[in-house]
Amino acid sequence: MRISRILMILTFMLLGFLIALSMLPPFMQNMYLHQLILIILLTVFILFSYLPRLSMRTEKQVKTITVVKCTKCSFKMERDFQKGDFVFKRLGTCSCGGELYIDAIYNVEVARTTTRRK
Amino acid sequence: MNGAPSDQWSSVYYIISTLIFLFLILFNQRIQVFFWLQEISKALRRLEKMVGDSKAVLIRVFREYGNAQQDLINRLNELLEFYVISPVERDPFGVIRRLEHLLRLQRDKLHETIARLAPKADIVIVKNISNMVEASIALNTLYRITRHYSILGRKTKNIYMIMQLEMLLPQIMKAANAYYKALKAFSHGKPIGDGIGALVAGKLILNANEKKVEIVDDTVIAEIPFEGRRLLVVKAAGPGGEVGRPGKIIERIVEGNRGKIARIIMIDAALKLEGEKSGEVIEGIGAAIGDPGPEKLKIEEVATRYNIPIDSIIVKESLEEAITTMKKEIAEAAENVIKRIREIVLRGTKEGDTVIIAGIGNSMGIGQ
Repeated sequence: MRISRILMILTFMLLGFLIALSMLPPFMQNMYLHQLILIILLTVFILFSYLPRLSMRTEKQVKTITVVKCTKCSFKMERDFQKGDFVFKRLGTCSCGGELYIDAIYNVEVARTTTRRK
Repeated sequence: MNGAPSDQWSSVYYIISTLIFLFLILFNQRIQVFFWLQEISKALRRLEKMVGDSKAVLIRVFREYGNAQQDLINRLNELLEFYVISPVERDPFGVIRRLEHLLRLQRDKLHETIARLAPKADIVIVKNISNMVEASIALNTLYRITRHYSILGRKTKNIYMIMQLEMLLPQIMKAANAYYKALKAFSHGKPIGDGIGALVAGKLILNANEKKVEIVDDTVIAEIPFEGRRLLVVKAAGPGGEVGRPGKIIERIVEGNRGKIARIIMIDAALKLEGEKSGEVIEGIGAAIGDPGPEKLKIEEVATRYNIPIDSIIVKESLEEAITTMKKEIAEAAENVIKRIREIVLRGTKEGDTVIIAGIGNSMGIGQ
């Protein structure tokens, strides 16, 4: 869970506790406890305000795909990108007699990893 | 002894809590600045690492293409601080012409320096390395400017300077990450998102049964027939990282045809706004070209002179997508763009007309 979310929950819990405490009869109320909660609340508020980026970062793992097609038939093949590949590069002759060429090169997402923000 | 122990403790407690309270009130701004400076330092360390990595990649590439110089790092450091002084704008007369001259000089100088640093590289590799160097220069500039304001803010204790820098950090880091990732795409010569215009133009040329292709000023001009019309397709010559001179070529074609051009259709990548979908295809009018001015001005001037309508088709993408390896949804948008071009040509022209179709963008990893 994100630290900012934990801080937010803590703030609300303390606030709730403070309100509940103030609703008690005077002889049961404790001034020091009030102050302590106020100080904790202030500290939490400052942490909450100034440390908003203590969160997790999601990184995408991508793979580059080369799409090979034929100029005549409907042949289509996808393979990993190889050094020297470029779009419209002629790769040879297809079994139908047409010309094989690279139709597209693009990135596709294969996985996502989550790491702590440094 | 005065008072009970519990009273003494309560006094101590009262004093401590008051002191903490006063501390938080009096030093609130200092605490704020402290956290901001921590964020800035963290970002600076990351930027420094990115610049270091980009230098390492460039050194590896230069070594791969035959550089054995001992002082390569010094030469690279000099190259990364390469600058172009912008032309005088107080006297705007001829400013675009002067800017064009400077841009040409910058390009030639960069190519010449890279050819010297990578003696075994052919022209395609020189162009790709040139793109890598430009991305590294952008990264280095972001790092230097961030460091400058960080040090200046600390020195002058100017809270507003530190605050502004901290507020801009997300955008700075986003741009830096984009350039950093772009470097990897450029080093492999993979097509980038900005190349969508060149990809569309290339597909049009490839699909034509008859074609007449010539390359002038690093720009491809292909003449192809379509439904009784004559299409003149313009794109940057690939597969090296090149944007060509579409403005100059379009001007030459229009003048060569004495203005008898029915339409100019331009295709380019355009920056999307946050929340918009990548690869979305939108039609509009006007010269769709993101150059600093000279090429766009030429197209607008010649189109206005001969009253030629300019249609534009844009493919939406983010800055990062524009300068990193093309994403699947952007590559797939090419077919949609071709469909739109056909519609515009059939709707807006008649048989016997000549139409210019300009696929604008970087042709890295895209041939013809």
